[in-house]
Amino acid sequence: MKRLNKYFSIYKTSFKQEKDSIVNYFFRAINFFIIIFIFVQLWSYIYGENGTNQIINNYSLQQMIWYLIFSEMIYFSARTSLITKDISNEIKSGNLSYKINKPYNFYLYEICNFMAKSCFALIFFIPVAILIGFIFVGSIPNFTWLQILPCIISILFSVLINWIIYASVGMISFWTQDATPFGWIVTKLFMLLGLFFPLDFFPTWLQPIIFYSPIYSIFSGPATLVADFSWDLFASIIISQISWSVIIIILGLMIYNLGKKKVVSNGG
Amino acid sequence: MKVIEVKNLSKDFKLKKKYKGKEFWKHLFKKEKIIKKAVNNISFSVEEGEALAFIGPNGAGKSTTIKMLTGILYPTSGEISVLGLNPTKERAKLSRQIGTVFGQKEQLWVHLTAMDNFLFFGAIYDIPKKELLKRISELAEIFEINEFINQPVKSLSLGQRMKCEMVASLLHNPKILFFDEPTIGLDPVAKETLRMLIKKLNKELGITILFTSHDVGDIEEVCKRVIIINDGKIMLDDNMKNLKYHYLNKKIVEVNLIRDISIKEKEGIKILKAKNSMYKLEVDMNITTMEQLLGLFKADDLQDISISTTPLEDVIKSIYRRGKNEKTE
Repeated sequence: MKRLNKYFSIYKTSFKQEKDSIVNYFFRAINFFIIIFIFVQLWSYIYGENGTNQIINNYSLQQMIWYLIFSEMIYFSARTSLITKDISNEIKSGNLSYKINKPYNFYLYEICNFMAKSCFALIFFIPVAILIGFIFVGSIPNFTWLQILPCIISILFSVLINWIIYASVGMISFWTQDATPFGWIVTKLFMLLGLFFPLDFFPTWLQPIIFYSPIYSIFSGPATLVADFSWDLFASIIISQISWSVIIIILGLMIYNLGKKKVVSNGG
Repeated sequence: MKVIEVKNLSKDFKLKKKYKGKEFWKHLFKKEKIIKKAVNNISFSVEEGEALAFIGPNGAGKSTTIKMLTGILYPTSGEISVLGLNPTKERAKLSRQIGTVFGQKEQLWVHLTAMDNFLFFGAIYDIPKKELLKRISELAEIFEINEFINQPVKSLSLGQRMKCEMVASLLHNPKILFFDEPTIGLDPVAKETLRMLIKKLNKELGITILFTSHDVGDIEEVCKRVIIINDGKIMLDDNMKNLKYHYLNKKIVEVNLIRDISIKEKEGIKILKAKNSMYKLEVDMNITTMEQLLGLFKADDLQDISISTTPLEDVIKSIYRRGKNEKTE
């Protein structure tokens, strides 16, 4: 219990500190709105004049926009663009060394720290996402209140998996000068194979590859769950997310344990 | 009782060799590494309750040594025992018994208040809430931080921040405190306050102190023993009294004579400067007596005389230089 208290305290402190940057969130929300606006225009054009009745790859325009809003919302809340750079900088500058001499597991510390920031971001961005969705395409088709909790659980898993992948990529800095180029490659893959398009939009041969990859657990799965909820889908996504969480936590820990011996910190 | 024991400790950093000019293309094919010996085979021990200064110029290896002692860096070779623990293998266990203050690296959450930070560190060290609040109030009293304890850290001055850093590192009642340049960037008043507080921690609470600094004033006031390190090697390991006795035996004598009298150098007396009837002499008191010095001129010729001791800073510089010269030889 004491151990849990410690990590809860890390979570609480990080959450408190994040509250201080609320102004930044308003600017990020504007950015979020502009991106969604562009996509709404794009997809409206693709769906044509009778967009509301048209179905493309099992998705109506409304569902497509809700998919995009939530996949983008996950991208924004997970602070994707910053994770690899932050971890890489911590390693390169030697800052990491000052954090590891405390009685906690550094890896768990970083997970709590990040989850607090992401939870704060989710509390901010979920209402923003819902509001933007309502403005552009109205309510989510066939949505019921019972879907809220499973969708939130799935989104939480998605930001966690996203962090571990990007943090692991950042840890390449233990061996290379800079890990950010590797982060860009991952981001481009995630964008093309999950962030912008649902699974059904890809060729049949590619769909199982994406389905069994973490991209589905991070973007396609949770965003599809919001746009087109079913309990079967929830079960399959959550199984995939739990499996990926376990696999990559172990992988991330292995990378960290191998890399930490290489910590270099400048002297005085 | 020895609380720190270091035997033949070394730390190498591997650096990539830089190719310049026409050899630039070699970067693509060659991955030659240069080994920089940051710490080179040093041994020392520290007794419980001791206040030890670890000094040296930039890149001497003092911070690297502290980082190895606290488990932050892995040594390349050698043995370290801190409070009977191996910092490399038992870092988490050791962290509960030691405190660290790095002058160039803050550990506090800057957007939060000092109090929030203390509560956070208390939780990290698993201190029960009641006990923690009592400890915070005791330390707040000693460090006189009550006035700004509820202010966000980012709004505090550097001196106030350092005080809070020290309180944060003392919450779990550490047996050893490692200070890595804690007074860096502080104004003279804040420096003095911090020195007094560190001295108090050592004398009144019996905490063992290991201290690195560039500021000789810090060392003179706080520590009884000093280790001078340069190029990763220990140049001198002695107590402050001995250091002063052996190395501060040279006096600077400035004389102003009424008439233009010539003074000649002798064994133990070196002329540093001579202008008309004014002389600046360096006198080695181990070789020359004051009587011999005053015998250089008649008392009637003397208009003014001042005698001062070589500043400790200069002594340390000469020890650094001595190390450098030995290396080039």
